Amino acid sequence: MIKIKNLVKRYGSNYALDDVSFEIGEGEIVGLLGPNGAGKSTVMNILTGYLSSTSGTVEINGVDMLESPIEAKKYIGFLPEQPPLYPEMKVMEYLNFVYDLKGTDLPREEHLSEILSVVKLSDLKHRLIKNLSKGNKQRVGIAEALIGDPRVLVFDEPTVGLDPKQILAVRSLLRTLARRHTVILSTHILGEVQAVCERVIIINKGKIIADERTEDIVRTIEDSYRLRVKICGSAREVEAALSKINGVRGVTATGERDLDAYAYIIETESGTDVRRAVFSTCVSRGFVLIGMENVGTDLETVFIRLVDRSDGARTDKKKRAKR
Amino acid sequence: MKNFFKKMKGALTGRGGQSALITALVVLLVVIVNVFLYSLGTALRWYKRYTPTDDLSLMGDTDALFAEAIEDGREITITFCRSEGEMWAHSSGKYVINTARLLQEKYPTLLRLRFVNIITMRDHETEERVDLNKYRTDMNGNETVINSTSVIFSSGDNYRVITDTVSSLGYSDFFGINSSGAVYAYNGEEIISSMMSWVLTDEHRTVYFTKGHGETADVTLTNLISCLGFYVDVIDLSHHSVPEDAAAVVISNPKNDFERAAAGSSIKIKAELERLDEYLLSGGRLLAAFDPYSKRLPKLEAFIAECGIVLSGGTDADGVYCRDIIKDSALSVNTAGTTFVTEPGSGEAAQRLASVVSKYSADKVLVSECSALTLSGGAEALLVSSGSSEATRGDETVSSDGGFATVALADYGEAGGSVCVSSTVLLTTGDVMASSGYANRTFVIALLDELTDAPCTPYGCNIVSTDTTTLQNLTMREAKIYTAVILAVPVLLAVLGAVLIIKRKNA
Amino acid sequence: MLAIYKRELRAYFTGVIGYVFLVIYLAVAGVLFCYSTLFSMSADVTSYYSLMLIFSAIVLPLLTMKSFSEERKMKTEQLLMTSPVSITGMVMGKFLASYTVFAAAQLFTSLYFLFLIPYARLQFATLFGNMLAMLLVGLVFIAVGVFVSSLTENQLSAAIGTIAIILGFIGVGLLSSLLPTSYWLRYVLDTFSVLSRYQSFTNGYFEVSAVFYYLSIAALFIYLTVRVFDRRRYN
Repeated sequence: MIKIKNLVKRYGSNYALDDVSFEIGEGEIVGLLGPNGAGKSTVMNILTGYLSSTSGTVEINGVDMLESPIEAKKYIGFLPEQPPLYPEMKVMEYLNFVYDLKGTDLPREEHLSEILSVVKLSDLKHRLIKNLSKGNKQRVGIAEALIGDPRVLVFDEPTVGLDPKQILAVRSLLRTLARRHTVILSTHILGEVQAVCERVIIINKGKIIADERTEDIVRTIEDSYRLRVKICGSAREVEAALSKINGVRGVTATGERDLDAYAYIIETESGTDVRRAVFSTCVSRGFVLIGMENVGTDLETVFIRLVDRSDGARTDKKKRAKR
Repeated sequence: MKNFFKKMKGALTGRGGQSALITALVVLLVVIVNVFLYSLGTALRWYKRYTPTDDLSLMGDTDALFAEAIEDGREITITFCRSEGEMWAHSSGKYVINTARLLQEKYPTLLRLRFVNIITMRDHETEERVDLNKYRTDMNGNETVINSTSVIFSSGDNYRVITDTVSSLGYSDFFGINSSGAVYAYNGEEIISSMMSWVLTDEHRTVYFTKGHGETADVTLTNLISCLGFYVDVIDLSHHSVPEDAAAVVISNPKNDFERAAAGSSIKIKAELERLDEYLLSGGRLLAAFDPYSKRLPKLEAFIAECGIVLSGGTDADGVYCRDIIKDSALSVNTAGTTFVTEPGSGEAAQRLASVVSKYSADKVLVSECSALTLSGGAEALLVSSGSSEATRGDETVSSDGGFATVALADYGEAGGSVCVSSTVLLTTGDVMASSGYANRTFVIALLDELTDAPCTPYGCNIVSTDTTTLQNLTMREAKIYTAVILAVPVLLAVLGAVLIIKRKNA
Repeated sequence: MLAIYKRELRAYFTGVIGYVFLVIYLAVAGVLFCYSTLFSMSADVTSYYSLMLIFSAIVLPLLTMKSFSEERKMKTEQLLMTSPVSITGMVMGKFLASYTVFAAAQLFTSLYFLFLIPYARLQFATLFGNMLAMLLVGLVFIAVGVFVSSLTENQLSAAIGTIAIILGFIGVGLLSSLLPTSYWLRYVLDTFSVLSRYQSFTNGYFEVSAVFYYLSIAALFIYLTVRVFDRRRYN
């Protein structure tokens, strides 16, 4: 559905995008992940035809964006980072405008009221956009992207600025949409990708550093188990004791307190299960173990490691080049 | 082939640097095509006139005026301070250049037109330097203004500058202006022919208007006198005598009486009427125009009665005191059409005037009786002008209802002096001179010619009425109502808008 | 393009600017009309239209200043550029919306002349000629306004820039009258003098090259606006 080949975007001597390529098939839901300034928005802007690349091609459903932009754009529904809303318009007016703008031939009234119910804005359709809350404004933006029932939905940071309840609502909406559309969304919130996307493309400083299934990403990096334990007792002693356990890579106090117990994160070597050893240690040293759970791999860690690794690789490359 | 188009398309929608070049080329292309079309259009005259043109053809009796000068091989130059193109493009200048060209075509050996760039002081066509500075003082030594609306007539050492210092538009001197200040007609043929004649004449005498008695000098009258070939100046008879070379003295609409010397005063201290008497006895001419409704001026009127014109008075139909130069004055003279009535056989001057008027305004002459003034001695009635709009030729009379105004002429002394008395209504109202057919105008020109032996008499010139754009019968009240309606619209709109916006604000 | 046109037109009247412009335009036009006809006792059409030309030059920027500046500020430009609408269609939609407001106002004020019918013989040919000239000049001024507003986010700058360019066009005409007729540069400057081209209309000449001039200059500025957007995509 979406084919990006060798996309380069250069501003003077600065490469915002450096040879970015990926393909997204129909029906996939993909997350574009990266720190701020990585180039996510740039990719999306070029993908949707707002910007032009310095070189490289974008193909939407087989149509080249540069050659037939209008045809290509017909396949896309785009929600930019800042929803392009006209504050002085009413919701319904705005949606009607976008409907006309996109030139769809779906039956107007049915289609729009369907979209309104999907984003749960049916009651607010005669409200002025500037009088809406941030969350509702975002919904209008989503509605705008949905008009015309485009094959491809592109969302740039769709949950930024929303409160937790709204975030959950949006995420569940995205999952629903993913059933019938190809969705690509960008975010710097890792949990979001985990919650919504089946595939993640990680981008940093204009280069793609990973492009895999979400679950696979976990295993790409050396996986490491993490245990979270709550133990009563002196923090120092407990830390020291735990560190001595075979297979433990690191112990960090999280700072959490539960009465006289402190919480710790124990990082272990891959493949090692230290749970029994922890229990035994606590018993032998007289610490009361009141809680133990498997935290699993955190995408944060994965990400930071990936980023560091790619930076490292780059610096290595540079060093090698210098020599 | 397809590849070529693809490449072109690529270039047009192209990337970065390429499209800047294309843009520049497009801009250049637009500029060039426009310039090309403009020059072509101007050269080939690719335009269509969509408004009706006025007929500016020449109708004046000017051949006699210029015959001698043409024979002598004299040359007149009319200098415009704009290019010919600009003259044609100017909303009032286009009339002037039109007439000038027509005259130039009629008298090609006599007249030449010149167009000067007033900033660079160069002839537009030949690029020669033209010294306009010498025209900044007129031939009498007074300062004149020269700007882009100036028109300079010159022949030999004589010159005359016409610059519009009154209206911001320019060339208003070539137009007639009525009493409310609006332009009623284009008068170029008359003005230009007169000015041409002016510069052909080496000596110009002066017509003096008296002052000090509330006199008003109507600009239409002074312009007309100027066209006849005279300078117009003002004289204060209480301090100065009338110069010998004066062509005539005009007392125009006096409101206060003149002075006679008190009995027994020194001979050296002369009073106004004495000076006037002196001037007339030496062959001078006097024209006195009275407002029929102004108060009695016993000394002046007595002075005039001495030569046979008695200005008695009575009450008119409304019971107001009115001099006998007007009879039944209510409708006496208006702008709706004027006819002339002269009494043939009552005097030479009357005969002469009648023949002139019937020659140039044939369908405006009626014959009837005159009995407004009491005339005695050699005084003759010259004209009775009525407010009727009917006219005929020969014996068929369509009688004029309404009143009439009289002009009378009498000799003064033996040296050829003469006194002419008229009503201000006839002579000093631009509206009257403006009335359709301008028969009044012909009469006034003939009268002044008779009085002053004018060097130039622009008879029969084409005066083009621009009256079509003057609003008639619009009362102040109506105007105010329309204004209110027109200004109410934006107000209503503002209110409507405010209401709609506020209503929407809280949606 | 139609969608954008409808939206823009509606936006003029759901917001303040449409009303402000119309009220100012109609009020001043009304005053000028009454002054140049009713109170001068004249049915002369040209003096009113000459005054309106100068006035329009100053007030039209008010109408166009927000066209693109606001879009840029509010980022709604992104919506337009990612929708299946060509850039030219987008620019034309905006342009036509502004022009509709102006043309409606202008035509409405021309109706005032009907008031004069009972008092003088109205020269309809001159009236239509002047109206046409005014509409053509409006094309150019609005095209300039749209172009300048696409260059900046700041509405005030857009307004000032537009006035500057328009006055520049007028100034060109004044400059050309300083040069001698035969000098070639004079021809070039004369071609572009809005005033002299306009005056030829008011003087009663229907020049095809003048009509072409107005249309081509308006088209040129629209083309330049499209270029601006195109260029921006690369940066």
